[in-house]
Amino acid sequence: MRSRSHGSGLGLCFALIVCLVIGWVWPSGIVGAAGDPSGGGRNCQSCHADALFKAGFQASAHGNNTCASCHRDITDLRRHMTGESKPRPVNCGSCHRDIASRFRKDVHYIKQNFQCQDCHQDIHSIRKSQNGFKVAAVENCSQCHSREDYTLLGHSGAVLKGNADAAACTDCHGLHNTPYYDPSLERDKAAARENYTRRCRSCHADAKMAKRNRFSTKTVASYDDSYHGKVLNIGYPQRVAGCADCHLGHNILPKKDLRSGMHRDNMKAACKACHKGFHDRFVSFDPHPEPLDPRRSLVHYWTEVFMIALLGGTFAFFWLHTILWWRRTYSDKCREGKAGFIEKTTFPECREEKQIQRFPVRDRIMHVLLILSFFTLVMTGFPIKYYDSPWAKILINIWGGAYRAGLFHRIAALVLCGLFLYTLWLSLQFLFPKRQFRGSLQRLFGPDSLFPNFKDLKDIIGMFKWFFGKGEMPKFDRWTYWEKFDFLAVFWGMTAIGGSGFMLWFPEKFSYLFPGWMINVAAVVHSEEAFLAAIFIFTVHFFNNHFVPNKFPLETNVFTGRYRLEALRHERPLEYERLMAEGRLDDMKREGPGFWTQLFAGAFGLASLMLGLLLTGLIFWAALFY
Amino acid sequence: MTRYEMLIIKHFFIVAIFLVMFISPAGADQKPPPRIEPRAVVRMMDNRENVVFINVLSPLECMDIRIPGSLCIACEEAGEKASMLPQDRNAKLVFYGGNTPVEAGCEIIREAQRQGFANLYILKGGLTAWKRAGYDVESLTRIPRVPGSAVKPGNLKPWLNTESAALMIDLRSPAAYQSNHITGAVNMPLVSLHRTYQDLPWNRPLLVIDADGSRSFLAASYLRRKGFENVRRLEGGMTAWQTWNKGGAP
Repeated sequence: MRSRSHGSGLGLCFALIVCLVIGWVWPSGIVGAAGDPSGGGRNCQSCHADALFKAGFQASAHGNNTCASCHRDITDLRRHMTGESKPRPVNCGSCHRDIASRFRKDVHYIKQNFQCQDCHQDIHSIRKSQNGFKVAAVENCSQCHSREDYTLLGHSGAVLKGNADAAACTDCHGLHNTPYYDPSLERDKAAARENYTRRCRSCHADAKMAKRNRFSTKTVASYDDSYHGKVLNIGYPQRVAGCADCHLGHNILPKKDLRSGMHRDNMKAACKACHKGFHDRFVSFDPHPEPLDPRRSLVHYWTEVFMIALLGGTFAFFWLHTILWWRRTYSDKCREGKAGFIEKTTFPECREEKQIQRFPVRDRIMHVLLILSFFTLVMTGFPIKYYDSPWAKILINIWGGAYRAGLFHRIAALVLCGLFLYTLWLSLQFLFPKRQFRGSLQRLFGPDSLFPNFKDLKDIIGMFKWFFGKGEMPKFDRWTYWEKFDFLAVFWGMTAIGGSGFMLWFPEKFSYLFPGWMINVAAVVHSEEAFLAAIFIFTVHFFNNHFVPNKFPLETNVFTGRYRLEALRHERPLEYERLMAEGRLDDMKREGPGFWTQLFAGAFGLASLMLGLLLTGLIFWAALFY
Repeated sequence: MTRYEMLIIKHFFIVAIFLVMFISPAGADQKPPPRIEPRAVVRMMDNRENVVFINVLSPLECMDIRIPGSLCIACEEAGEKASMLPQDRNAKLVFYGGNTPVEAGCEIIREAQRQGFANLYILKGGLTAWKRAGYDVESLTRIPRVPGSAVKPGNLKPWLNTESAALMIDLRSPAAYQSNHITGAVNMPLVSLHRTYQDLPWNRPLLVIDADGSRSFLAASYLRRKGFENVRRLEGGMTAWQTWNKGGAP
């Protein structure tokens, strides 16, 4: 090594002596060098006589330039040849302005102080690659980023094999503007995740490229439909996985390949980067779920089918019920109006009547809490469900971002769970008062129970007959069948949405009970059940209790606790008769609600209804068009 | 309280103060300098305040690239270069390193504190943040980068099996080397590499190792420019090595 150095040193000395002699004889100045290539070249090439500076340079991409085009500071040949002035590094940016400007942000410059010539070491003979730009890029990068680790397999491997579609280093990392991300800064990590996920998407969502290369664009669509994808897409990539978080490394291989990061044995490492304390079976979670493809997972598929059927069946029945009910009531009112009857609104006789108490303070507080927690859940959850709708980002930003929205979602979920458990306790108290088991069956199917009985079936049939003018409206007791459905649906809903919600909240802990793919199932149940609950409440429940023409626009009894005796007699005649027969009616009579109670009931009730209708519009907009 | 008891308490306090002053760890009474954003430093310079930058990296790194006009005084060179600190004790000294934060225990910072400089700062994010913010830098004797592959921690053992004569050079400080190092590695701190490189064997493959992989590229380039042909670096440095040993990604 040293001997070679000495050899080249002697050569340099000889060249220097020759140059000094020529420089002494030659007139001072390098005017010729700045002229045409042959003139300028000849002066410089007298000393810089290597083939590289002659034929090599002439054939290079810069061959039309003179030496002084780049080496601009060499203006005094004598001083240059005597070594009095040392040439400064060439400023490539004087011609390649855009690249130089971009390179100021490039990681190679920021972190390692790279200059152009560090990568373009063959600058005097540089020319367009015969093998195309992508291959040249891979070859150049792999001078430092070793082939075996970065470019031998996966995308770059395909580039080297001649696939023009495959991604070269520069397709993902950029050229001359490879971004620098500081791993110690959260904002940089998020920016990196967002950037690389976008880069992956640019190819993997391209249908034409997918067809040419036999891969599926569903990979992107399914990621977008996962929790990771939704939160990232709504603009909060800080705490969810992007593509490169799981697809680690550069040798991206099919998941059956043992070397692939996606191989089941290797996936734990990827999951561990974010999730701690999970069972090995956690890795069976599918980050690219396709619930409507039975080949991927039968359980997932049938869960989705069941949920769709549940939604379809529930809405088909209750929307039909609602439409028919509205039609019948509205046509009755129209008919009465046409016949000249004056609508009973604040009929004087009712003013004299006492009102009765229908809901105690406890129930009213529970309902207000239920409304608040339910709206919080809808307004924090649905922006994630419909992340790509125009209103989603606005709504999530109102909460202060996805993380805070998630926090509110969980708080509201706990409130709802508390209400549910309390309701369960009250139900048990109703069935077994003072731990008395005798008579519980009678209480369960009795008139004060919210549990359905045979009469409810008869009422449903009777109601449909009434809708079509085939009979009288059924006489109801304390609870109608649709109120019982509302109540019991909460039990199903809380089991489904609450159970799945807790699984999604603590996926690692649940991996000790269930395999990871159950998280996919939980996601389907949570999402579909949320739609069912929200739309059912905002359409069916709102109509049945508030928008039915004789109650429109608001029934306040759940907020005031009071119920007009006249209304009781008309709407629940069996209960009225029962109370009369039992002599309990007088005990239930109360003063009407006070000023503040009425104001709260009106304002809170109407605000809730309007918010519910607004959310219904937004949800349908998103569901139908996004 | 008797006079005798008062005397005991008085002496107790005197002894306690003596212990606190002389037995407490050196420099423990000194607060680390505040961190300052590049933009804030530039604002001070715009206000014509006397700002002096001090690059605490090795001479090789400082001469390769630095904030214009910086003094090159590595943390480890406090003893020999302390006299380079400016005379004006009111000057604002801004210390900076490369990618990794400057440690508050850096000896030249403590020396400046001892000399009574009132306005000391550590540049937040170091040279990287400075460049990222788009401010100018200068190179006095730049080391041209020479391409060369790195060895990933997971591939180190196979590489060592292939290159049985390889020598591992730990570029970190002696203290860092003492606390942990890869078995077989020798310590040759980067701060004195320009003086000690000639002691390296010319005919053996070399593997340079730093703390986090951010400084070994320059060292490898320097050694290659000096004629060492087979020089590799450990990708990610000791941090990556330790992560891999704990079962992380290779």
